[in-house]
Amino acid sequence: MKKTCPNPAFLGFLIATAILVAIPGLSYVKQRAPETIIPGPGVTRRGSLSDYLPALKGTSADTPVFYLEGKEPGGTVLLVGGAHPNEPAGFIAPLIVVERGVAQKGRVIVVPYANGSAISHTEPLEGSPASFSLKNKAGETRVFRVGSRLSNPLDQWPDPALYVNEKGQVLSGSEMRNLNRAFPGKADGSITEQIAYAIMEIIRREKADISIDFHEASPEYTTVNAIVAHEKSLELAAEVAMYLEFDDIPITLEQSPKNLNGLSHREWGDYSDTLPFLFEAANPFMGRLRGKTDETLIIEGKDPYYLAAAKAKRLNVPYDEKGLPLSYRVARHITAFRYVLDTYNTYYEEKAIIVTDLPEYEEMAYRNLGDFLN
Amino acid sequence: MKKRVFLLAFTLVFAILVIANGPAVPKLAEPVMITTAGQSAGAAMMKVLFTKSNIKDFVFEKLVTADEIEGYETLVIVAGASSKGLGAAGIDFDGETQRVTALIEAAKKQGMKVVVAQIEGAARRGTSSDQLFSLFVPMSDWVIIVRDADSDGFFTNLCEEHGIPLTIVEKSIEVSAQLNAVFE
Ligand SMILES: [Zn+2]
Repeated sequence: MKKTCPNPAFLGFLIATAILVAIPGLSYVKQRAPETIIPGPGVTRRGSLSDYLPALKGTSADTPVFYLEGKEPGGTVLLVGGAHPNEPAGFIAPLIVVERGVAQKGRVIVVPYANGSAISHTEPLEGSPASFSLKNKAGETRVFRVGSRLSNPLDQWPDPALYVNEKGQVLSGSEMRNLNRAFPGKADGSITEQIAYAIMEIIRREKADISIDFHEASPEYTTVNAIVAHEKSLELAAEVAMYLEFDDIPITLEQSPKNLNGLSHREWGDYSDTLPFLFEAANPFMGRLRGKTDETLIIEGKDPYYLAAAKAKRLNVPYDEKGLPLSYRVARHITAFRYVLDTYNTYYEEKAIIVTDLPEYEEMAYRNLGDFLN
Repeated sequence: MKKRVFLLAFTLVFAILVIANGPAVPKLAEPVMITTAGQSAGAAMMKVLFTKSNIKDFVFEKLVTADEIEGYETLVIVAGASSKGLGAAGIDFDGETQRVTALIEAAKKQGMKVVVAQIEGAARRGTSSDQLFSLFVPMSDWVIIVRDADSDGFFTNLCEEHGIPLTIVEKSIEVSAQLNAVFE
């Protein structure tokens, strides 16, 4: 019998391969671990997206749903964050509502990470950090993953060459993994369509009077620092925009085009009785002109190339040395949300939604955002 | 909520202090037809501003045409180009400028007063929007804008050149008080 002693070179190769596989493997697994959410005193119940579509149970797309229920009955507002989990203010704003807000009348339902599949990987080829962290008042570190605009290809693959949506609109194939092109969704469709369907089910079953979708976009994009409203919610949004302008928060109002299908502000309104709103904050981390793409850019929103672009009048939003920090972007979102409720409440007194304990704009913008997390 | 009511009261009082430059602002009468030039959401904001004013007889039609304004006394055109808005309305930019040009001509023919407004500020200044202002401001009887829209003096110069009275408010919310002052 010949003794089998592995060739040392081969052994070395095996070890090297194991290390090379383990490093990305571990970082991959880490990206699947959900961050801790610490619900505040206002949260009365916690559920899951799969409560609205059992097929999502046990998939990476299942995600927590928080309920803040007031003692007094009133209307219902749904807050959807993380439809694009590469847009940090889009999920931090709803998280602050979960961790701080208290419903006195009516209900707030919050889905902070709508696309649970898209949060499990970062945007390919963008050099995006995997996470960023904030320090709360107690000095403890809260870590938040940074995801991708699209669902994880491990959950939905392959992409078609072209994505022809329900209404015949043609988009590039990868957009099939974009939750904000998948509404109203399909119960037996792709994972992205299933998520969209489950969110529609929350709106329908919980009879959400108002539904808000939180986003961020690059400062050179045309629809930015904006509220996009369905024709049903346009006049409420017009009033909200004027209050924001009065507070010196730059804002434009856009109406949801009828021919752009799959978007929340269009389909939520067409397929339910809710009043849809989409909030878009400007974030240099999202843009094409940005330089070093790291955690600091996410949190501080300062980028020399955007400053140069602003000086050359190439941006659609004000941008200066102060940057567009996460605290400012989240403060805009929370303030717009508060004005939506205020305005709604003046017209629908019997279905009013009163939420207290949310920070004011001046308390948050350009301050330590972690102070508003538990 | 209380803060908003306070802000509103504050603006209504101080808006009176805003002084119109140049020629006198004409007196306007109801009923009012509100429309847009360019399909931006500014017209929806204007409708809200009318709702908050003392003027009660107004209609908002985003695609109103020249043959639909009989019986109206004032035409309010909120100008601002929005590709999303044009898409929503199913009209292209050229079609929109033709509609509004014909509309203003018809309004003038029947003795209506024409108001052009820009209440969306700097964000609604761009090549397409400026094209609309350049086209319609000279055809108007009164122009009302927010300060932020005129940071380069575009409206001041345009109105001066054509002898059109121009009112500049600091914030869009002050437009309601201005409307109260000019409608008899
Ligand atoms: Zn987005």
